[in-house]
Amino acid sequence: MKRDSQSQVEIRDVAAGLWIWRLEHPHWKPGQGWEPVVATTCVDSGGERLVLDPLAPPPDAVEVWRRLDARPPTAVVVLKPDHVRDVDLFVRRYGARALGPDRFDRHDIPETELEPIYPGSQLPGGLIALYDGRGRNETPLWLPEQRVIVFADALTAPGGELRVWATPWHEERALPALRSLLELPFERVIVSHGEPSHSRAAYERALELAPWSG
Amino acid sequence: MRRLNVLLVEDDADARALYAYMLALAGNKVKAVSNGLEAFAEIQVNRPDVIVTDIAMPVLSGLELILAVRSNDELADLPVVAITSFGESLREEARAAGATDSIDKPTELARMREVIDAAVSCPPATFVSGVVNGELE
Repeated sequence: MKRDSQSQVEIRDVAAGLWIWRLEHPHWKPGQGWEPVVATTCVDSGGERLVLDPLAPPPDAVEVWRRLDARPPTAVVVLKPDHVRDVDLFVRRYGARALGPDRFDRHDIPETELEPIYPGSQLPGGLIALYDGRGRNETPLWLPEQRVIVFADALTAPGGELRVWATPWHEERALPALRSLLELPFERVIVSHGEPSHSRAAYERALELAPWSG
Repeated sequence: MRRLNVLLVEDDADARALYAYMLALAGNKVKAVSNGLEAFAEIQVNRPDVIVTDIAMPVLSGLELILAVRSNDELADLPVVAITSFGESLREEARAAGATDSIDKPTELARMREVIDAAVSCPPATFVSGVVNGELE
C-alpha cells in the first residue's frame, strides 16, 4: 500500500493486473452508513483494462494518473445505479467503452450512453456480471484471471469487518444469491466501502453475520 | 423458461464452476461432471433434460460422448449442446457427431439460454452413425 505523494489518494496492488485506488467521496455526509473513503478498482484481463466504479482522483494524484495514462482503460463499468461517480470523465479522457445498469436514479444519470449489463453478461476481458439478490440493480463482477469478485454495495466493511449490506429480504433473497457465488473459485473479494480487500473466508463469515444496516 | 435438469460436462474446473453458476442462475438444476465418461455414467442413472458439453476433454471427449449418446437407443433423442473455444471447425464436427447445437466459448448467460431453450424445444431426431436421418438426399 502506498499513498500518492501529492495527494490523499491511496494506491494498493491487490494481485497481478489488479489494483485499487481510494479517496474521499466528494458527496460523503455523516449518517449514510458508509465511511468517507471509497475504492475504485482497475483490472487488466484478456488484453483489456477496465476501471470499475471509477471516482476520479484529483490532478495532483500523479501516480494514479501515471498508471492509467501508461495503459489507458478500454472499458469503464458502473456496477450499481448510484455508483455513476466519474464514468463520463473516464470515457471522455480515454475513449473507453462504458457499461453498466440500464436504469439510474433521477438525480444521477450519466451523460454517456452505457451498454447495459445484466447478471450473466460477459464483459470485455472475460469478466462476468453476477447476481446479488438484493434488488438494487447491482451486478458484482467476476474477475476470472485474478479469481476475485468485485462488489459495489452488496457487501461493505465498516471498521474493517466484511458484512452484507442489509435489505428487508436478506434471508429470503440476498443470502441465497450470495451463497451461490461460493460456487465460483474466488480467492478474494473487493468492496467499495470500508477496508476494500477481503479473503474468501471473510466472505463466508460475512454470510453468517447479521447484515449491516448502518 | 422451464426449470431443466442440465448435465454440464467440462474438464476445466474454473469454467465448470462458472457455467454451473450461470445455468443455475437461469433457474436450472445443474449436475456438473468433468469428462465424457463420468457424464455417460451419470446419464444412465439420472437422465437429464439436456447435456451441455465441452468438446476437448481427457478420458472421453465431448465428440465421443455425443456419438455414444446418439448410438444408444434409450438416449439418442437427448438434446446435446456442445460448447467449445476451438472455433467453427470443431463446432462443425460436433454437429456432424450429432450435437443439437453449439456455443462458442467464452459465452454469456443470454446466449446459453437461447441455445438451450431451442435445443430442448427441437423435435427429437434420430441419428445413425452421426448423421440425422433424412438429412441425406
